[in-house]
Amino acid sequence: MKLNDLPPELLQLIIAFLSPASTLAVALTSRVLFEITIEHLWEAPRMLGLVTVGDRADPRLFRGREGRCGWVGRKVRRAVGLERGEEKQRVPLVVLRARRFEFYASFVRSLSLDETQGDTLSLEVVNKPLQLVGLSSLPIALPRLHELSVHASRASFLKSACSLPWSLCPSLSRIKISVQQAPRVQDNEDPWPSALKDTLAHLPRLDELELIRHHWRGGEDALFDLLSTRFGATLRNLTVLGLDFDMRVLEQPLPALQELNLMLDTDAHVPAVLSMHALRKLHLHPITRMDGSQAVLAALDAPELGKVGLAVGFLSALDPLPDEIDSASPDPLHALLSLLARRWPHLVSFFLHISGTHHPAFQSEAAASWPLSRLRPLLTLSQLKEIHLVTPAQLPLGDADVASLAEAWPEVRVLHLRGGVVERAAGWRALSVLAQLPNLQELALPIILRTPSSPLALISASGVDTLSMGQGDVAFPDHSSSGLRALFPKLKTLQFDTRPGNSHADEIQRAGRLMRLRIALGSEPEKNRGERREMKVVNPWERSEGRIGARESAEVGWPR
Amino acid sequence: MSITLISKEGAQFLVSKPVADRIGVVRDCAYGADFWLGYAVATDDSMGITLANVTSSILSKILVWCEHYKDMEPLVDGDSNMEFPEWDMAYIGHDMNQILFVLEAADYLHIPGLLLLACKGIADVLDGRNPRGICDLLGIVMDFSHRQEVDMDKENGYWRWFLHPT
Repeated sequence: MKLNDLPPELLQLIIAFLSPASTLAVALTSRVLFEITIEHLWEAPRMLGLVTVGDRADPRLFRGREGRCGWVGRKVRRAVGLERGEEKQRVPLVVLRARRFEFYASFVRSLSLDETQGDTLSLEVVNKPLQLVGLSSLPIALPRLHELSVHASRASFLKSACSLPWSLCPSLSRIKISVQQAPRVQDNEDPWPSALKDTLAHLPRLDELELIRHHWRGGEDALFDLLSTRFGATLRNLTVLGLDFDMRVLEQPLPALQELNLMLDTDAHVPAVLSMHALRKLHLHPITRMDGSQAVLAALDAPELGKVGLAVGFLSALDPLPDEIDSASPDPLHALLSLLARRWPHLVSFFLHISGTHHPAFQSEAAASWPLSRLRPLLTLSQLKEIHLVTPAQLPLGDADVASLAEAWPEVRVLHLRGGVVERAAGWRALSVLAQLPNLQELALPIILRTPSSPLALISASGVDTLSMGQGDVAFPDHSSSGLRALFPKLKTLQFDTRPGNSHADEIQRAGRLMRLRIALGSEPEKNRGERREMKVVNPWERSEGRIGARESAEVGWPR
Repeated sequence: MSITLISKEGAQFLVSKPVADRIGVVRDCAYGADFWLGYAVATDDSMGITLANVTSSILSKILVWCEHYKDMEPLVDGDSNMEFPEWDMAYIGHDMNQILFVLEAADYLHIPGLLLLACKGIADVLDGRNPRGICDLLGIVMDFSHRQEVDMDKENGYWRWFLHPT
């Protein structure tokens, strides 16, 4: 049996699994396979590759002897109307190249115009071949285009990309626009903010919009007027980053909005009521203060909301000021969590990520601490499935605290509590409680294992495959591995944090002990399972991806 | 309850209901009928269901997969980056000829999970080979000349040019 005997639809299914390089190799074997493969090859080309498609190939492909012409060349010549050899000189090479561009463009399903990737010139280059084949604009040459994404930072590029008549593409069903403020642009190239409104008005639809700039200086209302009236029915995903954004413009109806990303700090521009009935995901990026986020959460009317994420720039935003600890002033963290728990008791996913420690730096090295008493409102969210708390503050969660967490979230699948470790940390008892949770898959918790094995010998069917011990420790690495294996039979990856930049001798010893635990877990003789286990060492601080867009918080880095 | 499947050579395979349920054609033959007729045709049959296009060796291999997936759901949809479990990859192996037969049979018997797995298996075998190697492997007679091959390669390898724009 041969590959060629298969029906074309099965061949296409196989080709969909191949990498671009292998797809090309398959295409070059025979004409039958080439014809099936070429569509897949040009599904999502780079704009520059598409425009210059004729230029890099050997020009002799068209002018040489008949035997040297490729399959595409023959198709192109037929499209031009060339039949006999002597007519070849009559048709200029540029026309043949333009036909070839048209041929490849007809396969494109997804197109990305990215200014940072060098697509700037392509829109000027593209008009020449289009004129030669008698097409008035680029969208007509792309009959199968399904998805378009534009990433721009200069007004001229954005304008030339958006002002094309995209409504002529019959199957276009998704347009993503991302506008990012470039570090240095001339004044006449700045797309903000009025030029942006005029530019976007050309588009037939808009599904995702991302606006990233340092400071908003007015002009938002006209832009959001347009978004609400023209694109209200299609706009699903909105990201607005930048300080001093006037949130009152969001009062205008955006009925299809499902995901919202906002950067805000103070409650100065927050309206009293924000009605978004389709909203499912909300990400907020406060930097130094929480009152803006509080106001948004209080104002938001979103019954469908299931996922909430907060990426906080500095830890001090959630800490009561040191001189206020004794007074009766409310704790910002507790207030935020209780507001959240009160408004959306059916929350499925919660994400709280803190980038830096203190701003401005405190005089004393007072380490912040998040005991369970401050996190208690979260315990009422019984339907949580994913929890990420990534903080440089200390998390003094003992065995009893972890047990109450496990009791409060019976359906949890991903539990990430990453923080500094103190003397009071979770141990064997906490692990054996967590091993009884049926859906738990990923677990990250600062753990200190002081005894060789679990005092409770429980039979566990836990599905945990990734365990991160954070800044934890293990006293008897060689003996603890069998206990861990008994609690988590499906464990594949053990991670720990090596505390970058800290070179104390005890730190090195701790890392050595954890390495030994990892090796002991990996070299366990495999009795019952045939599956191979891979034990990886990953630094979780590098892997914790926060959705921080601000320059200010990106510069902070992790505490040393 | 069990069902007899008869292969192309006439060999009989006795399989239980959850295993047979993985095979779309058998499921439709045996249980789909009661939707239309009001009773199941082959619930307690001694005749068996003849699968005339599948040989015994391939059918026994397919039944191993069905047996493994009788309790759990196989991956049936996803993009080209989906990852199959290790058992699946070990099951499908690297024997091109056999995978092709499994693919054809999975298509005929309507087993979407196995169909995708076989496609993935073929793609894994083909991955990282040059055109000559693929021709040798599959017994394809290459009908491009070397000159044409170089030209096509230059023309369609746009991402390569983009990565190394020299």
